[in-house]
Amino acid sequence: MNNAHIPKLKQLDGRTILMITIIACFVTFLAPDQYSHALFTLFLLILMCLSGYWKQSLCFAIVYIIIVGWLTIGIYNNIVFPSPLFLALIYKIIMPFIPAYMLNKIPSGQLTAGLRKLPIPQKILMVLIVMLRFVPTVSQEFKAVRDAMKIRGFLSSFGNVIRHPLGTLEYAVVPMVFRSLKISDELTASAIVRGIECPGNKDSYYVSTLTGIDLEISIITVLFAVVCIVII
Amino acid sequence: MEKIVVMTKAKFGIRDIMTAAAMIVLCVAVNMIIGTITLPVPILYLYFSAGMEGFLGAVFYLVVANRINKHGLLLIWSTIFGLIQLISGYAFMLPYFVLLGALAELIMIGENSYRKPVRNAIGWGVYTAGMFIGIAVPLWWAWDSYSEMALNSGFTVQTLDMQLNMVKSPGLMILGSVISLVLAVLGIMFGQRLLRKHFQKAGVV
Amino acid sequence: MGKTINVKMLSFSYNGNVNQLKKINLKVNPGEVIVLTGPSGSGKSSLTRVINGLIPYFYNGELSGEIELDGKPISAIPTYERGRYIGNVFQDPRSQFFANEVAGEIAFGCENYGYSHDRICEQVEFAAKMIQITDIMDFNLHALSYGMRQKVAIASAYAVAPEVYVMDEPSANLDTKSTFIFGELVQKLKREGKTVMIAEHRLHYLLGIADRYLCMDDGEIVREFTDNEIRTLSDDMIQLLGLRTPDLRNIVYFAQAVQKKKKKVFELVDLCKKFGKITAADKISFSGYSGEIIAIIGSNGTGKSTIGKLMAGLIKEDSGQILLYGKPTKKKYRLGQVWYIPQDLDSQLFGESLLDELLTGKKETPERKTKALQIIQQLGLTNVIKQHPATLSGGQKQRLALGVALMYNAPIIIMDEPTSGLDGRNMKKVSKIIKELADEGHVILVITHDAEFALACCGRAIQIQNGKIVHDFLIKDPIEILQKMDYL
Repeated sequence: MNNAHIPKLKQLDGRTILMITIIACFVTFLAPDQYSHALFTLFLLILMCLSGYWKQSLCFAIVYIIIVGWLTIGIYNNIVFPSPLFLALIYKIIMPFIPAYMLNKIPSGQLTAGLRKLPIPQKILMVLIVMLRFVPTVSQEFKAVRDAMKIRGFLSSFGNVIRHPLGTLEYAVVPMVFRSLKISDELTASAIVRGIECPGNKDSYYVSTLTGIDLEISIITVLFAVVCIVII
Repeated sequence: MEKIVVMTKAKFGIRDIMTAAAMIVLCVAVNMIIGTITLPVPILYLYFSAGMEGFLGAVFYLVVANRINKHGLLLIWSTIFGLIQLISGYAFMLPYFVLLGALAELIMIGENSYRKPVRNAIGWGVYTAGMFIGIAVPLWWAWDSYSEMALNSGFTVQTLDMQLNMVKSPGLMILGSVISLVLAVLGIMFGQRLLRKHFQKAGVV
Repeated sequence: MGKTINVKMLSFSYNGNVNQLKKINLKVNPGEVIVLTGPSGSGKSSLTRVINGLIPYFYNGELSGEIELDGKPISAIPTYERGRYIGNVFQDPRSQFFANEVAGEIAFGCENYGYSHDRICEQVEFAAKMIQITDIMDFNLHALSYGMRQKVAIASAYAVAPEVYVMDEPSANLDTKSTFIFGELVQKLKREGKTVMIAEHRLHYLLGIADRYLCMDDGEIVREFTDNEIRTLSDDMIQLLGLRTPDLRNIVYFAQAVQKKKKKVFELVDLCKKFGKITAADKISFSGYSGEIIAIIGSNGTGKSTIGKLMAGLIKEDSGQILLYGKPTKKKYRLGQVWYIPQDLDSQLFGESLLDELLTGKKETPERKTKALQIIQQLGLTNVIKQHPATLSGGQKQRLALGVALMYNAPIIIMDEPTSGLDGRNMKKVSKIIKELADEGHVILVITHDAEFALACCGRAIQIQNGKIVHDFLIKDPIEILQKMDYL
């Protein structure tokens, strides 16, 4: 395989990125002060850049700085809106969001192959995989239902919707459920006739292996996390 | 002749997994909308989002519950949400959600429990209240952790008035759980009506 | 090569109700392409499902009789194993794909059957090459056209190298060009000696490819035709058997009486709409008159649906005007005046019974109720009035959707592919109702690639290509329409 064009870190296995996400969750809560928090965030942003997502990395950096600034100003001047609680929450969540974004960018087949190797019970894994497949479908189907609701006049005015919330809800939910059930049944049939219930060990088209890079990055991440939490 | 509905002893088959996955995705979509709307007003988010999600999600839950009628549904449901939390920043909550699911399963012990409205109401209600606690506790930790962090960075206590004291209190925790439970049960009632009117009538459940 | 299928005295009923299949006897020889056709509900799909194992495993019921694959009983092969020997292509390109990317989808069967990673890659590449889709391996399935998706479906079945292929209305959602391309793939399978069974309404793309055509009705095989015989079937026979016209050049066409120009209901003036780089509508201008039924034709992706949605007020135009009765209108006004009926009917049914479907949304008054009942009768749906809309057949749902438009007195009705998947009889019913509505004064636009339907009820056709109108003509000559719709 020709790796010359792929940024080095894009070869990271999904499992490694998942581990980084989990570590980020811990660091964001355990970091003792704003500087160690910012340091680890910077580390993650660099990882993101090296994986080829430098545009997004820049966006995240800007958002982070804005949130920190806003929060500081808000607290010093007792500004209530936007609520500092809200901003503080975003501040905490940004950090694990960065590796989560990278996780999201992995093609679902590749991600699935990686997830299969984790010690997750089969049924749960299957539900997750099918959920990944359903997400684009649900958004398309909802557009169709929303258009139909518009034509019928169910969404004719905001007042209309507010006055009959349960009715509007029924109009939105019922066709969605019918469509989703139909699609899930047809999908099941399609999967059954292609042997999804065949027992035995299954290989995958996509390769998900842990390579040297994974090990290196994992160790670096863990060390850095410890440094940020404990030492600084 | 009496028609006895026997709960299938079989484990989750592929059809059950697909149905559950489809409905859970709808539920997640609804949750994300509610989360996005309520997040800017933290009090609303903290005390009402779980309940609202329980209200709107009840119908999707009921569809799966009635269709597949097998034990393990709430456990799987809760675990999946725990896994979603894992990549949204609260990885440490996963064991909590698994336990929550197990607790809900205990409530649903027995034959055909997943087709009985009252049982579903209790099971889903407990699950929703558990979701509230599952959102509230990490949220409090997030805010406390930020306060501590800000103090360590040189803020003074006076300037750090973040309305936190208003929002945190054990009494309010109980109130939140009750709100969530009530909204969830109302959701089951609404969902049960939709079930009867549409899905059972059309025979898809 | 290929395998023999021997069906003996096969009967099936869904849970004790009417028999879907009644003592079917059929022998399929290796390398044959068999077409199962007939009206909806005749049992074509059921027969394919017994062969691939979905009946009785997934669709419960009572099954009796035997099927033999190369002399051995098929019941000995568990359903999950049958995929090795029998490949499948289903009807809906939105719901038969498991993966999100093309390569993963093609690999699906191989993965399930425990092939080693290397063998999976080999087979996937092999299948992609044979079906000629090697250039889209990394594409997201949701971004592909329906025609491309059905190619992926064949590739996915092909990768496991079965000898038998079973297809259930694979062309139902495809436009004309994609349908012919699909036909070529079936031809290719035949050349490789595979045995293919296709349940289909649309027969035209299989002419010259299929060996035998089996007409089913009410659970039994009633007639069998060779390729030549079915081409020259008389129109009476076609009607009797409830089929679609096999050779479209033989469509019996009654020229519509040329109407005197009636009231101008709408006019589009230089309508433009772009989605990013794609031009969906490029200075579209035309008018519609009371009583007209206009066919909007053109290959998929050329903006037909967009024009419908623009007219209906669902999307906002970039520039241009839409006039109703001479007055320029805003998007909001058009909602409800121009009634757009999308292709997928399940997303637009909201009620719990037919009456509820027509009455829901506004206050129920005695006048409205009477009107609703009258509409239901006009549409021939009185016998199912108490049923839930979700339980109706495709043809019934289509008529119900028209009924809703009538309840709201929409003067302009736009139907998007109303006959995809409908058999001959239902297509004619829809066509008849549309003509009645036109006589009552409505203007009806039908976005369609169903030539038979266009010839059955439309008086005028507008051909759209790349967002532009290329032809706007009165339908006088069936051959002209067939040519413009890419059938010839």
